Amino acid sequence: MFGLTRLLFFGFVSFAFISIGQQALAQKSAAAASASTDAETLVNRLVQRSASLRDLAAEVQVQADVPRVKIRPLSATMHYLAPDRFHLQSPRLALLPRQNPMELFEFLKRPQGYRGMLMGEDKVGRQSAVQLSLLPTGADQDWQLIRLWVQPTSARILQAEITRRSTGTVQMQYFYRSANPPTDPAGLDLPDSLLFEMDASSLKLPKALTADLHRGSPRDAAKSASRPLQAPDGKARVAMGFRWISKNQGAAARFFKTQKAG
Amino acid sequence: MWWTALRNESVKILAKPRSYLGFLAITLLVGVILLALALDGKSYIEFVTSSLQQSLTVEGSMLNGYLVGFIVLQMLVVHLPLLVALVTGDLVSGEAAMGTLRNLLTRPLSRKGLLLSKYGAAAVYTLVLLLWLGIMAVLVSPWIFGVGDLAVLSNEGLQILPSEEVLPRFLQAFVVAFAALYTVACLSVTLSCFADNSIGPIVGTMATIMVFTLIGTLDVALFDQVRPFLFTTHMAAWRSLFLDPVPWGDILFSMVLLGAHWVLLIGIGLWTFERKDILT
Repeated sequence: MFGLTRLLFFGFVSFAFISIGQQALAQKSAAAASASTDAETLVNRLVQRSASLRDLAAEVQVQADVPRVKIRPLSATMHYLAPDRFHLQSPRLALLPRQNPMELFEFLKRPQGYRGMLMGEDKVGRQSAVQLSLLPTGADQDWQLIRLWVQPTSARILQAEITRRSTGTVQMQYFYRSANPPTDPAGLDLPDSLLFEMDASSLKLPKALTADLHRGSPRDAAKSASRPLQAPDGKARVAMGFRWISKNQGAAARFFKTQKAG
Repeated sequence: MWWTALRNESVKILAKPRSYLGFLAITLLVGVILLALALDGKSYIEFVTSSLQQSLTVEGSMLNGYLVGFIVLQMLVVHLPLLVALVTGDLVSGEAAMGTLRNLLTRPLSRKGLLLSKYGAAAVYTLVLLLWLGIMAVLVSPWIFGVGDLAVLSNEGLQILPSEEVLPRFLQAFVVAFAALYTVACLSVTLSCFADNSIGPIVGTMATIMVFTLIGTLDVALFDQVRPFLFTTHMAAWRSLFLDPVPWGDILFSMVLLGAHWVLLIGIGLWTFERKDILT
């Protein structure tokens, strides 16, 4: 009798544990399925927005803050024609990141070339965001890893970290004047300014060309050379502010056509 | 009277074939530099900016007439003192060697007036030589390569100056460069007062420049006190005009020091010439 009771008790406990375990597993799968669905949904929304990007023209203010380089802010005109024609028109010399501002959107347009995974919630400044990692699926690609911080409700990109073989790792922060993106899911949601940040600790200028025979001893030259012009944290930053002149109205196409004819 | 003497001394300089060596040398050297940069300038720019281009790209052409002009100035500033000394070192000792100095001193112009007219003629020659260099560097180069922002490499790093500011800076740089070169001219004229042939003052001037330059570059604590007061330390002060912001304090100090050298050298020359026994 007592043995039967014990058997029944242990059977009940085992059944309870198995049920709880199965439920937990089921929930995890559901969550995983839900998460991948969410990642997929988010990617689809990003693709939809990027797909509408064809032809842009903007007035740009560029300000570069690079260790051991001093350059004043400048104004320029930017033309972009999908997929890869980008030109900055300015009478001045401009220092720009090798990662052009529109390349991320072009990459997003091809969802078959990457796999998206949600990495959790995060904050960008005071804004809530989800972290989305995009892993390129093709072999031998320039693009290695893309991490996006995206507003979950509006699929607006707030921050990006792009690692490429050709350009290294570049962080980009997106700033928008309007609080809300366009209501049309396929509407262009372009930033009003971008801040690029990249590692410049390996930047070295040739010493042979900086030597000045008439400028004191090598000790003085070394002292002077150890004083960076600015940006003491070894990071190079380039800020670009946009005033969009034309969005998908053919301005860039006309510009490149004129350039080709000229 | 002094102006007449100055004009005469200037004419005498123009009449000597060696006076044109400097202009010919500048024309040839600048020609070679322009040709080299026209053929291979892009490699030079890539060498300078290769490290920068790992994460950044430069939009626009760094290789333009202003950069070429700057490079021309940088390369030739080392050679110009020799070209100046070649002519100005001959102003007194050359006359002594030819035997015309005694004749000259019979005229109703004091020794002081005569010597000052020679210093004045040295200034005119230096100015004209520098103007020729300026024409080649700042007018011919932009004509061939076009204009644009000027990228200057210094001990502190790479500075990019807007093109509209470059020409005024070049003009200011030539003023400072003239101050440095005229110091060399004053030194050679002063040494010329001590000699009866031209080789001595010319070689003496170059030797002085070499020794002072060596003292300026040797990292010895003993020379630290002396270095700021050597005129060779300030011969490249013109380069500071291409920094942003311009260190006006340093440039003013350089100009005052060079001016002090003029006064000292002219003073020594006058003192020597007034007392010199003219035997030839």
